[in-house]
Amino acid sequence: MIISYELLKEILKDSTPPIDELIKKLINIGFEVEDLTNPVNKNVITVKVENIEKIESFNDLFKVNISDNEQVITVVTSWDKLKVGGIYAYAPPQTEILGKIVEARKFGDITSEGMLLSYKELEIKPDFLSAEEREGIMELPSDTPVGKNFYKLFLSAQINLKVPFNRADCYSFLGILREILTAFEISSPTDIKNNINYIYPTFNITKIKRDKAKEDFQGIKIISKDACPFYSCIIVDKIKPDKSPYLLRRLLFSFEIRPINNIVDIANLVMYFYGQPLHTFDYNLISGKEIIVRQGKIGEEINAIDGKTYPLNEEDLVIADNLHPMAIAGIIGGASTEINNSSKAVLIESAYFNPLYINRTSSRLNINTDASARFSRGVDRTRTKELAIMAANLIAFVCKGTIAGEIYQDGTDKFEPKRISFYIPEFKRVTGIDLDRYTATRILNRLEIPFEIKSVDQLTVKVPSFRETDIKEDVDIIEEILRFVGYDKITPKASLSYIKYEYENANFQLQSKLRNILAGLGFYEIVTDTFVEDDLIFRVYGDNIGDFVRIKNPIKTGWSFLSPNKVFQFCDVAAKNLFRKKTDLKLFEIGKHYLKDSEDEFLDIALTGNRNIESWLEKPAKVDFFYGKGIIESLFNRYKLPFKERISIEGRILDPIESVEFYIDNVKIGSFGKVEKKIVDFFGINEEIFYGSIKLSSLLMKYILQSPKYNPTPRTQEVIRDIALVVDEVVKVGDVITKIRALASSSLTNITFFDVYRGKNIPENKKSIALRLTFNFGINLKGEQIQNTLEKIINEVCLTFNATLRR
Amino acid sequence: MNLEEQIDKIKKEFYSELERVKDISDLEGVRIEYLSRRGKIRTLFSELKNLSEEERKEAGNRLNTLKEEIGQSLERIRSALSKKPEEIKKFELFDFSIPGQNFEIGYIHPLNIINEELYSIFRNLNFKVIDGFEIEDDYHNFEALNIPKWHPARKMQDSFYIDEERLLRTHTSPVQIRAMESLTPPFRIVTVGGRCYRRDAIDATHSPVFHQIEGLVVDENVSLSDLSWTLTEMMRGIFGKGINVRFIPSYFPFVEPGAETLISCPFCMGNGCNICGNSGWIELGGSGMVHPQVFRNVGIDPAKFKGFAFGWGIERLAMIKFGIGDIRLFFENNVDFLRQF
Repeated sequence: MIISYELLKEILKDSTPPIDELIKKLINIGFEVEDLTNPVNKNVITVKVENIEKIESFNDLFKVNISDNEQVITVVTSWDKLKVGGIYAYAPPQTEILGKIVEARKFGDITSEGMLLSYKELEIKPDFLSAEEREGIMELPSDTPVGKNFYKLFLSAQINLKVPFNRADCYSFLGILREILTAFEISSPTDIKNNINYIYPTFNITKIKRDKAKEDFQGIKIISKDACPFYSCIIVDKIKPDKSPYLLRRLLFSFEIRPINNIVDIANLVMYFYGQPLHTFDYNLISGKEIIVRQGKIGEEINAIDGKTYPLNEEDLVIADNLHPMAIAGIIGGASTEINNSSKAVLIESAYFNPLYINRTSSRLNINTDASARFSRGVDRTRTKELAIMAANLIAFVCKGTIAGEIYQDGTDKFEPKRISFYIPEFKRVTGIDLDRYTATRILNRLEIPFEIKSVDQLTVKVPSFRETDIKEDVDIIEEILRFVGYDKITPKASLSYIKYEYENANFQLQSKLRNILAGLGFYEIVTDTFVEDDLIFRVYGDNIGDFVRIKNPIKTGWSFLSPNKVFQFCDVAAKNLFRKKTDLKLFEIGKHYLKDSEDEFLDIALTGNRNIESWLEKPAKVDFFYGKGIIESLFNRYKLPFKERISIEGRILDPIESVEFYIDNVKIGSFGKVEKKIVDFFGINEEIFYGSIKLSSLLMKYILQSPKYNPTPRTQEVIRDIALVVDEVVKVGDVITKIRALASSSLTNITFFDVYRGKNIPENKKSIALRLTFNFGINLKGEQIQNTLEKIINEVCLTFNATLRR
Repeated sequence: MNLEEQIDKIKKEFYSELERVKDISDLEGVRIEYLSRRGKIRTLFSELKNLSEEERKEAGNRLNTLKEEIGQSLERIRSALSKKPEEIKKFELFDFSIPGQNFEIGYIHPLNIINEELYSIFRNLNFKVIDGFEIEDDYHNFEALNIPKWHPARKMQDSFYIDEERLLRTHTSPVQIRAMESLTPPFRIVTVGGRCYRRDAIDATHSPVFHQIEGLVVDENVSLSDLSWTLTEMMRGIFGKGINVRFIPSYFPFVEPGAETLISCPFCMGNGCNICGNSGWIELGGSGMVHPQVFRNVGIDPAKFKGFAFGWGIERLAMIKFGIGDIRLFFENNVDFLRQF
């Protein structure tokens, strides 16, 4: 909502607050100031063209005599559409225009003393000009005063306010004015609620001609009373659509309204001033001369004034004649009855539409207009008629037309105010601020919210029609009073009474623990987006996307999937960093994987490039499957997870050979492996990427967060034995280790695999695996006792795996 | 020059002379100069008698310390100098300045640095930390929060829909709704770093994916004063002492009175700078008293209980705290960016 400071000054005169104070106050009562346009202070004068002469010696140039009412000045221009008698903006020499100083220029023996200006040179926003005004030198209304400063005549400081969604009443100049009067405690010339005359004095309206009613008009018929409780209209005859005169044009600038013609411009002005959207129909184009307010029909459509065709259905409300919809009620007009240059009579609509219908249709068709913004929040239903009459008077005055008959109406504009009981001490209970009755009633009075005093600290508030949609219960009244008492009066004070121990959030604790461990291991934590490119999903999963979640309305077309895992995100991050020559990456993220029936939290890791920092002590080595898997194993071992490993069966994102899955009690808890080449290729990565996921399940939480139980540390020494077993190539080292663990039970404190050997002395299809076993028996055993235990284990292992001990 | 200055001066002189020592005889020279009967330290001791008793005690202590320090330094050098030549050679050849084996220590993402801080702040303020699902139903995301279908405020939170009923939550408020449905007042709850989605075009300050901190307190007598106190504590926890909180009116359908929360600019401490647009204040996000309709929707009696709530973006807090000008940086995961935290 634009507030023109000049307009405000015309109304408030000496009580107008300085602009910076005004802005500060507006913010403090809840209006965000989006923008402030300062008035331009330049010596640009309005002039009248006296005569135009083609200059013979120069092609396409004209000598133009202009007058500022005191002297005649000569300028030279190439613009061939200047009119004798037309009014334009003129910059005399020494004026700065678009950063350049205008100078007198000679064209043969003619001197051009300055220049006539286009909108660009005037530095006016093109959005609020008509197409004609944006072309060449800008022509001003024919009744613009001559010899005056252009900027003072048309433009002033403007404050662009963001009106809160619930404040339907403030989508109008007068609504904001009411707030300003309350905030600054200015005694207003008259109350705003009952006064509609702010716009009149500017025009000095006299002698509106009245005629008898149009005989062919059939009246209004509201069929959908729920959607349209009240509809009124008035007809102005013998109109002449034209450009708006100076006084109107100036107001259009004040509100940043794009000019259309004097009829539509007046309707728009009334809307900006009072908040009531009006619609204007070309009366003669209404078929059957009948206004029917009804729901749309399936299959019906309308060509709107924005040039688009909209399909209608039964949820929509339309204004129709006896044949077709002429407008989508409260949202946009149809092209068929639009006011045009040859319109002879106008029917002005002023109605109250149910906000629900307006919202639903404007959302579905995605049409947002000034009218829909106001109707969807709710207009003041009690003022529809008087504003229709007012617009009719203005149109009749400006177009020299006649008002044909009286106002027509259907439905009811009666409004029964809601009564709210307001217990004054409740204000303190909610805000912590003391409030006396005097302050409360003074603010309500200024806001034109009527009330009755019920007792010393009890009021009954009667919600006025212009606040119907936003004041519903006592807290709304508390907020109204608080806005003007001042939110700055809220002071920090703890009166919180209850206290009770709250337990840690286990999920957060687990995440925090993992985060610190991973960072300690040299990993960088990343946070990635949720969405994945469809193309990629189809490429990797083909038709097997039944478990995945898709968005109906993605922000980027072709990005509709929610990530079922993080491999794509990690590859994307890796690709971007690799491109920047950051080749050694260890990344992790704690976040969700999204599937149809679950959104579970995971720890994801990815690695590529070198595993270590190259130095004179350590040569660089690439990360590989076993390095990465070791990270996950180390984490599991740190918390004594009894995990088992299985061959990976996932087979889409991980390489089928270099991959593994982790289980506890047959429940999968994670996986790790080399990312499929197909995926890596998609991101244009030439490196191997290793990716792993661990589900942050309650199972994992149990092991990681459980309170440790102390076991007495053994006082006896550890016994270390190395063994080498020759086994078939297909035997898995992990299986051998698991078997040994099971056989040795708790006396085996550690087992490591430290070598594999193939070749000399080892038969074909066999391999020798070297293991280091660390025991602590808790008692001191003799050498042969140890040897016996070891041999028992070895014999059993050899039997199970068809192995031989290598001596 | 008073005694104290003389002590400092002698100390400096001693160390610079020590650097010039090459052999045992040089060292002996230095010892005599400082520690002999006529040495510099002794001379200073003799000046103590001119001081008052209290000053004498203090200066005496300091002189003794210096004497000990000089004695120990001389002894260290003496033992090094008396070593055999090959040992000295070894000593000289050992270059302690060669970089050792370095290990890369990782980094925690800036958003999670804030989340961890918030978690600990709210634990200290006795809040229960709760979380919930990102895929929500229309009722918990909108309707229960006093935003019925076709309410214009829905346009403030353009959403990603999965089907007619389900969407990606546009704020963490559904978590609070579900908690209110199951908890019995009084309670204090908070959601830390919950991921939310809005169909906003991406620019320097908007991202379709973002994270929220959202708190809710329900008790018989809580007011905007308590909200102000809680937020002041929280903001001081994040931005340091001296941070103040203020409110301006703002509209959110689920709170009434509703407020936009501002903190005094941590860069200029409220004096006005280019970061806060010379206002001294920075906007953080919404807060207010829980709307009675929301209470009715979850079965809490609004006449008996009052509640306050607040919610805003983790990204916004991180941007202010770390001086980050573009929200997109959080999700780009450029390692040079991550390495700064």
